[in-house]
Amino acid sequence: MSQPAMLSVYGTYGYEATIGTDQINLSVSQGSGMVEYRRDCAGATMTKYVASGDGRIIVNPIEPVNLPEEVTRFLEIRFDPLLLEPSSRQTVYLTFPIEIGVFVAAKQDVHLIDIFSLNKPRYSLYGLPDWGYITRWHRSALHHEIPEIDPLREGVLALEIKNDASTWVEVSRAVFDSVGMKIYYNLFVSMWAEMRIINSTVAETKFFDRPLVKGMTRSLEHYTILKIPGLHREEFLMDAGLN
Amino acid sequence: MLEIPLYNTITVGDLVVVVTAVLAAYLFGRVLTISIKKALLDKIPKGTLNLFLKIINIVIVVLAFLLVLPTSMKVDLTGLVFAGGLAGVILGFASQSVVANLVSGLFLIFERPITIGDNINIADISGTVEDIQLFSTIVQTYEGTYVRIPNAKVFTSSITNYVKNPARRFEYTVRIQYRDDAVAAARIIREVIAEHPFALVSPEPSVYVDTLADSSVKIVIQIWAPSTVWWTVRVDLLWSIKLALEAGGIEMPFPQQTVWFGNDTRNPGIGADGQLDMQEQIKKDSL
Repeated sequence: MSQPAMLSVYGTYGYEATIGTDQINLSVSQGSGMVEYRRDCAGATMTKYVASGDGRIIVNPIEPVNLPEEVTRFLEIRFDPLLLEPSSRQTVYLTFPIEIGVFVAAKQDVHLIDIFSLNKPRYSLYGLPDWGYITRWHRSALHHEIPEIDPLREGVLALEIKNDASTWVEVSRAVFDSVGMKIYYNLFVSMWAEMRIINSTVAETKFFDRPLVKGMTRSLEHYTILKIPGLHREEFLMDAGLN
Repeated sequence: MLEIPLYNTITVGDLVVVVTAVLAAYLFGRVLTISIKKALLDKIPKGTLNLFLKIINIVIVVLAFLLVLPTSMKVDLTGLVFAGGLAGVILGFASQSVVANLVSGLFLIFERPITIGDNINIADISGTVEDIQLFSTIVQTYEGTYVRIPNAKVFTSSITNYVKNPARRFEYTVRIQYRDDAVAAARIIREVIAEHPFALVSPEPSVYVDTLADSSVKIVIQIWAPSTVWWTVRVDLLWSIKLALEAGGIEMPFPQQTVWFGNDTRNPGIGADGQLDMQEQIKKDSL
C-alpha cells in the first residue's frame, strides 16, 4: 500500500516545535516558564498557554465524537449494503472520520489541550427519538482492501463481520461505542473492530486492541485519560436494526 | 447478678434485654440501610439517600425500644398508645402537606420523570432542575431565578421534560413570494440544513410547501436535533436560511393588502367594467 509522504502531524514533540502540512500548522514555543501552543487550521487560529517547565506535546488521532461539541460517544458508519450468507464471516475495510487531539504531558500525567479536525461533522439518531442514541455519522465506501486515504481526514477501520444467524442478513451500518476505541497510527490511522450479527436486526460491535499493520503507534485516547469511573463498557448492542 | 433490682421491679436483666434489643435493632437497621444504599445509590442523590436511610434507622430503633418496653421494663403503654394516637391525629392534620410532599418526593425519585440538569416545564415554571430533594424540587429558571417547587405540586402537575428523549424536532415557517420558485427555495433550505452538524441526518429534515396563503407561499421546515443542543441549532439555522434564500434571489414578502375605493377614478385598474379589473389588480399585487 503506497502512502502520501509526510502528510502526517502525528507524533511526540518537545516544547520547541513546528509541525506543519499544507493543511495544518502547529507550533509550540517556550519562554519564561510558559509554553505557547498555536494552531492554524482551516482558516481558524487557536492559541493556548501552558505553565510547564519540562514536558512533551503529543499529537494523535482521538475518538471522533468531540466536535463541534460533545453530544454523544457513539460513532455510526453507513456503507453500501452487504449481504452475508448464514454462519459466515467477512472482513471489510471502511473509513472513519479523524479528530486530532493535542496533549501536553509532564510529570507522568497528560492533559488534552486541543481538538481539531479537517472534517465537517454530521450527527444522526440510531433508533427512535424516545430511546435511540445520538451518533456521530459518517458515510464510507465499502473496501475489500486497505484503501488509500488522507490520514489527516480519515482512518481505516478493518471490520470483521460475523453472521452467527442461520439466515441471510443484509447490513449497511455499524454503530460503535467510542469508549472502547483503540486507534493506531503511523502513516495512516487504523482501528480494528468486530460486528457479530445475532439475528437480522441485532448485532454486537466491539474493538480489538491491535494495529492493522506492524509498527503502528497506539494513540492516547480522550476517554482513557478522562478516567471517568464506570466508563468501561466496550461492546455496543445494535438493537435498532442493521440497515 | 441479673436479678439485682434497679428500680421497683426492674432488674439488671431487664435493662440488659432492652439494651440488647436496641443494639440488635440498630445493627439490623445498619445492615438493611447498607443494602438499600447499594441498591439506590445510582438512583437517588447522595444527600437525600443519606437522610432517607437515617430516618429508616431511627424508626427501626424506636420500634424495637417500644416493643421490648412493656415486657422488660413493665411499662404500661396503654396511655402512651392513647397519647401517641392523639398526637398522631394532630400531627397528621398539621403535617398533611409535609407527608404529601415526602411521599411525592419518593415517587419522583423512583419514577424519575426528571433528573438533575434536565430542562423542564412544571406548572408553568421553565428552567433547569438543580436538585430533587425529599420535600421539594429546586429549579433555576432561564432568567437565573431560584424556584422551590413542593414535590406534591411537581407530582400532580404535568411535567414537560425537554431533554428526556435523545432527539427532538423543531419547526419554522418561511414565506416566499408567489413569483419565486418554491422548489429552488426548498433546495437552498436543504443545503443550509445539511451544513449544520447537529441537524440530524436521520430522521431527515422535511421541507415542503404547506400553504398557498393570501400574500405568500408558506414553506414549512422540520428539523431533528439532539435534545441537548436543539435551541442552538434552531437559532443558528433560522438566520442562515434567511441569508441563503436572499442570496438565492428569493424574497420573503411582507403581508400586503390592496384597498380600492369605489370612486377612485385615478386608478387605471378600475374602469367601466370595474369589478373584473379590480380582481386582476389584486391578483397582480399578490404576485
